[in-house]
Amino acid sequence: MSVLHLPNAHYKSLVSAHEDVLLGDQISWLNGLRKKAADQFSEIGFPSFREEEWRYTNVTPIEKNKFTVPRESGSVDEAFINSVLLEGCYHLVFVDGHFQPTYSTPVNDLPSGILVSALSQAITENEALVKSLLDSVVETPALGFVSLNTALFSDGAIISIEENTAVEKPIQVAFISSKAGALTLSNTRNLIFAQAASTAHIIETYHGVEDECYLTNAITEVVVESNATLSHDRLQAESSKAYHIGGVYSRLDDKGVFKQSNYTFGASTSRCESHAILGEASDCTLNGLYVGEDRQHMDHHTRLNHAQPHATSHEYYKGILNDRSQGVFQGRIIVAQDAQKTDSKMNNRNLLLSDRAEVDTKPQLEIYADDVKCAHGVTVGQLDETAVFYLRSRGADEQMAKNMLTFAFANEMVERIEFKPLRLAVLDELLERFPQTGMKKEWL
Amino acid sequence: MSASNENLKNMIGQDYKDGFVTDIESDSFPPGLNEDVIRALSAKKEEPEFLLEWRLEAYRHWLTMEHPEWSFVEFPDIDFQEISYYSAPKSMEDGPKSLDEVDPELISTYNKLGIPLEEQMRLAGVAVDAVFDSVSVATTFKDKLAEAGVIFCSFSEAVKEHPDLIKQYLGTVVSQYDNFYAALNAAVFSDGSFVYIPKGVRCPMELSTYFRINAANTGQFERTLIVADEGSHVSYLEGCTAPMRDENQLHAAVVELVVLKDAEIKYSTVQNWYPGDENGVGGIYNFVTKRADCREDNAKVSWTQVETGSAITWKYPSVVLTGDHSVGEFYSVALTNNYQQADTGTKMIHLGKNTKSTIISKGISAGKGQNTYRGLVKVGRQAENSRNYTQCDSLLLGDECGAHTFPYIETKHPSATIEHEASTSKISEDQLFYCMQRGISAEDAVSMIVNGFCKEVFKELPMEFAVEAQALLGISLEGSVG
Repeated sequence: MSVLHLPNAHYKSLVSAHEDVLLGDQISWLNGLRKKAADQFSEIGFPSFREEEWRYTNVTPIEKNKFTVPRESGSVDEAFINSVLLEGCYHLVFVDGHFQPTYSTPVNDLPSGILVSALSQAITENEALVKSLLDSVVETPALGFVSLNTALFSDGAIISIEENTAVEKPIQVAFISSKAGALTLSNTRNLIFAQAASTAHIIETYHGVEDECYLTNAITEVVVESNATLSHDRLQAESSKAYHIGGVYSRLDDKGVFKQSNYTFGASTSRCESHAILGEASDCTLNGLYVGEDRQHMDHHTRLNHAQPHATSHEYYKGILNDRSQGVFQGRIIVAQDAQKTDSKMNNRNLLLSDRAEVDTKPQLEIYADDVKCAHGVTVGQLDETAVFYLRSRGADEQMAKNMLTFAFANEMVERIEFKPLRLAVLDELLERFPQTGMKKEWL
Repeated sequence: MSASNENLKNMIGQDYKDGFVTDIESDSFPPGLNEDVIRALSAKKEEPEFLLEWRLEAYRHWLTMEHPEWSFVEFPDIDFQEISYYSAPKSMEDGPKSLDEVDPELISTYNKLGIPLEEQMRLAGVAVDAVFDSVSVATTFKDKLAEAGVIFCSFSEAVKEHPDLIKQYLGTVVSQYDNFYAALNAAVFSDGSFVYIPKGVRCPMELSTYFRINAANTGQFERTLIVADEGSHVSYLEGCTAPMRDENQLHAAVVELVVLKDAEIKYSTVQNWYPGDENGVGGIYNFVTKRADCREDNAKVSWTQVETGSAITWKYPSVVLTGDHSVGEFYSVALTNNYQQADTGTKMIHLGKNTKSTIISKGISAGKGQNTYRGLVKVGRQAENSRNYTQCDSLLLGDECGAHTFPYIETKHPSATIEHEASTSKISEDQLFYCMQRGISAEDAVSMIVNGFCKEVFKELPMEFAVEAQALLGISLEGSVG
């Protein structure tokens, strides 16, 4: 295939400039891995919109902005950090891709049977575990952004839950970009390992100081072993001028249960991959909500790879696009020849609120087995005029009526969030965009 | 379910029934493609200067293009220099004026296909412009059509007799630069059909063309242009069969439909070209560009297709809904068996206000067939209140085939309402059990279910075609379908 790749000389030079100061630069296997990724990145670079998978998302601004990797974290208001930490969680906090022990839950406060740590610490204490997980789930050949991440990642979380262990509290991993005033690039890598029959809930959140322009390139690799149950929420509330490229790559062993949800509100351009490889009789749920305004561009790509029989998957993404924002959804369900009795459903619903907003959606089925049930549905529409009329006849003004209905559209996804502090955080984002809905947080 | 397994085996073992070769001396160009070939072709067809220039422009542009790789089909590279770009039955040089003058061997070819022209002439309501290889050999019912003012003739005849119309409309829907195969077609198209329905005329009969590929190694590059002027209506039927061949044959046709104010075109296709043998050897490569332009208000286009043949089918009959209140419809049944590959679907481009489109696509995969639906629904900035409904269903028969769905939905207007649904399933044990406990045999039950699966599309076909389509499905799925 003839594909035009973007020039990436600047990013290639970044890789060579940081070779000797990166995490684990004394470890030969890691250096080897980084070298391989760097070579691959030089070869493939950033994807151009001529590539089928990127045809709706243009990453040229990332190339042009020439983001640089900060050697240490910038300063962030203590109050800002505290405001993004959810109650009732264990915390791991990173600023500009560097670990912040002061804000993170100390190891002594963690229950037994779990490892919640920064990669920078684990690489010395648990090198074998890091080695077994790192780069074990992402597809090869990887995307340019994944290669760049592998070549350059500065830190990230490693979370491992031992067999038969249930973690009571959710674990929040917060990534914050500082008010650096410079074009910074944070490359973070998270490794999550839910061992057999364990249960855990992990929340990744991404925040930035308003009006800052930076690039977050965050990859999470997840392994869910047999009979384990893992919930993973990802809240993206970056600065409205930032760029966010992220991905959650997961592998489910037999009877594993994985529930991954994305809530996307921030960044001027964002792209989030959620890919899962499903083992026998596993169960995977991918949910998402994206709410765009101004000129925001939000792209979600999901891929459910049914490799083994008897697995089920559910996918439900909802989008609200206002002003001149653009939403992109691509969902792909692949059912291998051996994956008989697969049951897979995908749904994508979009609400367009302005005549300059745009939605591009590509729900795809790729099926090689005959005894399967697969379905997908897509809708794009606007608010129901009669519903607006009904509310107005009850005394709501037009804006309020519309906000109420828009809120209700989004609320279907919010209601699915079981953990209350996260639900409130998502609600905050929603109510900020659609005020006067007559909705009070206290009611929830 | 052993009964259906046996049915599947029978089905897979089914031979292509229309495979035979007629020995007629052909006047062919040696294989190869360059500007001289195009000039010679144009000269042979006594074309005006503008058309030659148009062809050459297309050829020069084609040279700069790369072969597209994005589709979900696999085939060896095509050597375009090994194809002969012109082949005409020799006995055509004198130009038969009536059926009696037509080479009797041709007539018998059609007889073998079950479409005797004599009989068709007697059958009311169908005029046939039969294309044998690249040159029209028989045109019927011309007088009756002329009476209504309808022009229905071969493309080369139209170039000679109605050059103004050709100049006005040729390439306005599918330009000579459109895509790799459309550019190739523009450069070397040999013949095809031209239809013009004047203002306010409802075409008195259904128009039909049988395409046929005969001479070995001859790529067929048909070009069809249909213009429906204000307030007119036409139903056009296109059907294809081809003789059995070992070598792959390339077919890259272009169909352009121009629909003006309040006019309607209904375009139906039954395609049964040679699909290759059970090992995937041979078969036709069918890479077609079909597009309609609803250029003015209230225009309507309806594409209906039944695709059972070809080794590779690669076509997306599209509608550009430019005029306000215009309507586009697409109904399709695509069947792939053995090693057949189909990557087909439609594009509905909503540009005008209050435009509507409907897409119903049914894919059936059997054997080692790969069946892909690929469709685009695009709503432009000005397309207020546009409406689309899409339904793509796939049926899998056997565990070595594949069914894929790749819809693209791009919406730029909030008042648009778009619905897309797709499902993939096999014939369920429950459905079979229900039928069988009512005393219906397994085979009849499978037949009922498959027919029911396709019914929404078959009911859109004109009567004559509906019968043929059902027969084709029957041949392709014999053993499963009664």
